[in-house]
Amino acid sequence: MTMPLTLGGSAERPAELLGLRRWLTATNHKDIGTLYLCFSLTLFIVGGLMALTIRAELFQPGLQIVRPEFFNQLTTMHGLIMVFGSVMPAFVGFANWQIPLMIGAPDMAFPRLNNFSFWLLPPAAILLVASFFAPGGAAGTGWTIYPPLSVQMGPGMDMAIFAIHLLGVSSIVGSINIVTTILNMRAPGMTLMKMPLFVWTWLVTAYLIIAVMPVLAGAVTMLLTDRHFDTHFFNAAGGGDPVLFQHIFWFFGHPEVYILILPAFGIISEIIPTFARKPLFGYRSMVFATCAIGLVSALVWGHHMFTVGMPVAGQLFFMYATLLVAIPTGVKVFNWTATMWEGSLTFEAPMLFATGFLFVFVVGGLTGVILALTPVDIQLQDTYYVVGHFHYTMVAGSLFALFAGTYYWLPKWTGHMYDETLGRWHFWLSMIFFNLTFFPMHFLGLAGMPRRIPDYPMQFANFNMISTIGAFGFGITQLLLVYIVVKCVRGGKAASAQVWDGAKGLEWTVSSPAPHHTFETPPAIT
Amino acid sequence: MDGVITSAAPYVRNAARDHLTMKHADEQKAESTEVAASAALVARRSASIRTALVLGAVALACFGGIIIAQLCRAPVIGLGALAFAAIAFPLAAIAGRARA
Repeated sequence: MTMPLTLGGSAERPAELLGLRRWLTATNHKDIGTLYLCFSLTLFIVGGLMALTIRAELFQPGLQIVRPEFFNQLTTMHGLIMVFGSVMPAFVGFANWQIPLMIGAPDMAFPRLNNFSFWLLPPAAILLVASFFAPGGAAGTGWTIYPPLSVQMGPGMDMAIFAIHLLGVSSIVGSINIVTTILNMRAPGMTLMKMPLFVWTWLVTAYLIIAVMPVLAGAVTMLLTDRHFDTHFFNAAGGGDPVLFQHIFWFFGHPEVYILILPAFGIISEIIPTFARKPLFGYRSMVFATCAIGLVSALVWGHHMFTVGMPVAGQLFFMYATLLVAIPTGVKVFNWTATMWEGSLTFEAPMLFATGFLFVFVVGGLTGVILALTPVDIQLQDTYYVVGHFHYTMVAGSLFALFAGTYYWLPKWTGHMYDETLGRWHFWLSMIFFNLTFFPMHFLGLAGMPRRIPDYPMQFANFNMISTIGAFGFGITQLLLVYIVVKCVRGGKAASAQVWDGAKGLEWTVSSPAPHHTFETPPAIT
Repeated sequence: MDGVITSAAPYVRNAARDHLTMKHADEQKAESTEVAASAALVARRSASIRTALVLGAVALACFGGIIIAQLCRAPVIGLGALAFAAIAFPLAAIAGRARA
């Protein structure tokens, strides 16, 4: 076997592990990272098509395309698929690819467990999508699966519950692997306070997943026993409490928001210093802010439930605790801005998405601060204002960071430079269409349009039309991303080991594409 | 070892007999490095398993705690289990570090 010349590792891959078997039995962190990213992209397209169907129905008042119950199923599955099937696996894909490279480890701590946690995902995705064909259709409860509706629905609900179980097990096992890798596999000299910010954010994220994902698993298990074994955890007629489910769900659900955004913060913290050609401003404060966000995120779940009924003391506690999250988040935004200040800035596609992230995420953050205020939230609960707010944090936050990270590390993964012109087009079109889609939703919410409805009064028609046009533009723009990635994988200008001249970190010491095996001899960190 | 045998019995001619193997200093060094590396690997592996078991216990405590709390109709138990789970790992990690 002729071996190509590689830097920082060996490209050798046993011949019997080529083809499909290589992917089924993959234990290499890079292969599994690739699997996660491909899976995530596939479900992003599936979830995106559901979103476009929703927006097509809302293009005009009246019922045109889908029946109301199917509309509810689409909103539910869109939420579940995007959160659990697309964004989370995408970040785990990044973690798999990058964490061992960044800390100088040869692989993840438990490579076989890594394979197991990935291969739990496809059956879960199949269960979710196949539930549309179950009698009564898929779950139509919204992604929050509140009882009593979730107790009364057909077998599609059971399929969703089993899918959540599988996705939960996969996330927990994957997170255990990530925490163990970070704590035990670092190269000699790589102390905790020398770790790249992306690794730090994943350490906190993975621990959050381990702490809160089992709570969701417990909640859906109780839901399952309520449905089939005559328990009455959430059934008021049997002495249960449906509101209890909401408390448990949001005890998981709010940290979940930070699970989806903390790794995004990590990616942005890697990209901005590279393109500002300056070290990250306030590294230690960034680490402490990450830990603070992780901690406070577990104390604010009640702000999702102000309208359920809660003592004033409870409302005040959750309101102030929620406002508190703005402080460490503000520290991060300040530090990113300070990093760019007087830097030697260039705006390649990763940096464009990173600065775009800053702009739109701050908008999402500020609307979040407004929603944290109890009297305001009581007015805006379950309106399109909330839909606009969380899409500004989830789409513009998580997704823009994922795009930024993809362009940043794609040359390292593939060994080829992506098409920079198309990358810039992708950014500008995404930015314009994203704002066109979601900004009008704030006005719709303020005017009183409720979420999760397939029909609406004439007064909301114009903003809905604009929003739908934006959504189709945004959706079509993402085909450009697929084209850019495929083109880059197939060929292009060869990428050097140090792809970006301002980049620092161990991953830039290995050749591009990163060799199949890296850091078999741990690098010495000084 | 060969040197030890011959020096322990200097009056016996060729005490080590055929067991005598002259190892090159480089070879010996490489061997000892290999042994040290494999010992480090084993230590790292067992440390990883310990960490994973603690984390798995945290996850199980969170899962079981929330269900047991509802079965017993005592939310304090659930909250206690959750709080214990959430702080058990950092405590275990700090204690482990202190021992190291």
